[in-house]
Amino acid sequence: MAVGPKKVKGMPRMAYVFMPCFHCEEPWCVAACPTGAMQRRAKDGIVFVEQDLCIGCKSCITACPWGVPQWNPETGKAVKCDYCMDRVDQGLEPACVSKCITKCLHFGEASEKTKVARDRFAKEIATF
Amino acid sequence: MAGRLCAKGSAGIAMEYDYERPQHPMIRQGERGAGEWQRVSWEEAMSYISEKLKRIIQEHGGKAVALSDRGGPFRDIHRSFLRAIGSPNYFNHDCTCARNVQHAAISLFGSGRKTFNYDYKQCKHLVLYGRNVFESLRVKQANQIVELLDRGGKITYIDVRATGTAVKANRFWMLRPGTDYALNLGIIHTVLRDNLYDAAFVAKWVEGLSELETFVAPYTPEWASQETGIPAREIVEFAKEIAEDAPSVIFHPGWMKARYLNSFYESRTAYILNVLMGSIEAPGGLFFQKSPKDVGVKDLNALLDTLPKPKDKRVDGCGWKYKHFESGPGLLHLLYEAMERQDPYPIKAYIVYRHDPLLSLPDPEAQKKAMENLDLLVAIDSRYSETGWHADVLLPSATYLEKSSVLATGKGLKPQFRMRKQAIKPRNEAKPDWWIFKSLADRLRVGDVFPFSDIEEFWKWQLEGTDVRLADFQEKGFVELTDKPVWWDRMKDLKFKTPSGKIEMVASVLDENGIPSLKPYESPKKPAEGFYRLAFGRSPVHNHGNTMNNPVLHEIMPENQIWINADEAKKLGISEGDRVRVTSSDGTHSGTIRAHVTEWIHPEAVFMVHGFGRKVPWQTRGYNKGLGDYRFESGLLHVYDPAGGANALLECNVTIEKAS
Repeated sequence: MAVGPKKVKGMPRMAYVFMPCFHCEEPWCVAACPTGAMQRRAKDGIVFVEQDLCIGCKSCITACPWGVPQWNPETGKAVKCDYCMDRVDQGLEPACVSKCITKCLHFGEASEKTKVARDRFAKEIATF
Repeated sequence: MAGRLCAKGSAGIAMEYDYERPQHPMIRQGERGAGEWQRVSWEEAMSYISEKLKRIIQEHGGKAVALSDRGGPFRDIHRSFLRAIGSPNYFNHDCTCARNVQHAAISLFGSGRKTFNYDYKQCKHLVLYGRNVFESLRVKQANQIVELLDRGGKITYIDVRATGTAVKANRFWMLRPGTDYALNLGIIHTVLRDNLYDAAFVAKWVEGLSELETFVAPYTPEWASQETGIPAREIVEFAKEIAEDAPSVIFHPGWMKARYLNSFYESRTAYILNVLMGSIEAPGGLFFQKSPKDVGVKDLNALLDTLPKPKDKRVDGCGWKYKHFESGPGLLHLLYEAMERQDPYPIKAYIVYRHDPLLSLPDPEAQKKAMENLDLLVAIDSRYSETGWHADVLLPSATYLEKSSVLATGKGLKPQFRMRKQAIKPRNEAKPDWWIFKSLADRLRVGDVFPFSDIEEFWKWQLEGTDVRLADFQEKGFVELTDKPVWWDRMKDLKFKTPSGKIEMVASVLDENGIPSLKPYESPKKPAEGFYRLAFGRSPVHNHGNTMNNPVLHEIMPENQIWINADEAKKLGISEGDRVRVTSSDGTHSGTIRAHVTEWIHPEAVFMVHGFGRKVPWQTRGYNKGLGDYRFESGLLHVYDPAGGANALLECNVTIEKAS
């Protein structure tokens, strides 16, 4: 989501906030789902909708504090970010990551990805 | 993954399978633009067109046929078709794009803007005048510029509003509309006064430095400040800062510079600043694009070169009446003038290929009036364009996914040949353009100029005399003609095609035609009370005017808004999101649109994204959504920069009021 521009030290500055699903530890959407369509995958914690089980009651949409589940008027069911788990299972990146034009988005284990940020920060503050 | 697709690229599939695109040839039944079409076979359409063309050529000569396209590397076949029937009247869209830049480059270097490309990879300071690199998006370039920022390089961005590029820049100057030229004069003054230029480079290559010095003497930073609204102190600081990074600096001379009446001079002075910084053929500056010949490879064969040049003069006067205007693609607005006056001779047929002049040149109503003198208007396109809807015959051309094109040369540090190969079969009855023009040529009995039956045969002929084979394209779709990037010694080996062999501050080509090379500055008129200058630009999710009806892109951005300065909006009682009425200066066009109220646009200007406000009812998604800047540019069809030739599209004033 684009926020701004705001004036920061006289310059226009824009924030682009990436808002996919947080894939909560204890997702409210899963608890709210009456049919078990909304599930949390045991092996990696991805929260997803099993389309065959979804009855389109919109409970998940009202339950999520961040408005992640969306209504698909064409199917009459809920959809949400599942990190493109079909792609992830094939060893591919989620579509949003492989698509990001300027390569801002990365996908991987949190422990691995913090290294990227730490490396970058180290380069910034290094003095010679 | 290295390559990325932008939103428009990803939406290609949605375009391909969209039902709302021309599916079969159609011939107009009712009045032009009334939308009463008859579906016909290709046989019927082609015989209709060729019979009309035959009659026109018989009566008025081949010169009475004009054709326009949107330029690009795949023009050989349709340009050859035109030449084969004896017409010199090839045009492209460039009078609404880069003509001023092209002519600015020719006046200094003796060759056009594509002589150079930009070495963003090594650039330390990039200066952009409304060149909105992160929204008028080229993926590879955007990444190189993001990396420039990442390694500590700087961007100075100059515009009448804060774009997606401004928000990433290190310096943003929101200047008064139309005063970029004044800013450049102030910078040049400072650079020369404070000896901030590359003296060795200038001494070696520049002709006319003293004339330049004399000319800019009155244009102090303090003077420039009054014109532009940018503090003089900042202009001086900037000049010092950028000189420190020279020669790895780029003053981008612009791309779409069909803006103001002085845009030619803005672009020319940006080029001059590159020269003063010595950034020509310097790493991180502007490099010469090397051709196959420069690396010892023969150029691709071109059909056009096998045909004699037409005897008749161009109808627009480019190259003879207006000697300082390049004759290649001419100036399309002057075609309209010739159509209106039937002078120096009548134009009776106009073939519009993959181009939409009614949406890109100003004042569609004035254009339609000029078209009344045509006996035949043919549009060839893979989508419904505004011009196609107004045509006599609409031919569905294959999309870029459905056709193979002629091989293209990519000049650069590593010159290459490129192949665009058909990926899928054309849907419905669409045909590739090479087939359309070849078939027309056959019917007009000039088919012998196309001695090939399919595109592969043509490719083989293009490659004759080179060592490159068709199979070499198999892997990547392009063949690099050298392993290493080619750089020339910038102090020894540069060649300029000017009469003097140097970079000419005072250009003989302009002088001889009564056009000043160094034009005394004239302040742009302030819009009258209650009027605003209408600026337009691009969104990263739409491709000019081509994608407003794309199912996916329409969903992301269904309509445009009008940006208006917050203080001005307050005076008019307009708040964010209000519906407002916009009216052209002569009152002939008016429409409503949502307002975007922001401090990030100059108070003299309002802005909208280009390409909306569409009137083709068969495009149900884009139909009548938002407003089209081109419809407000009434009376501007013949208003153009006399030195550069491009239309002055931003010399357009509108009024705004809260819609009732």
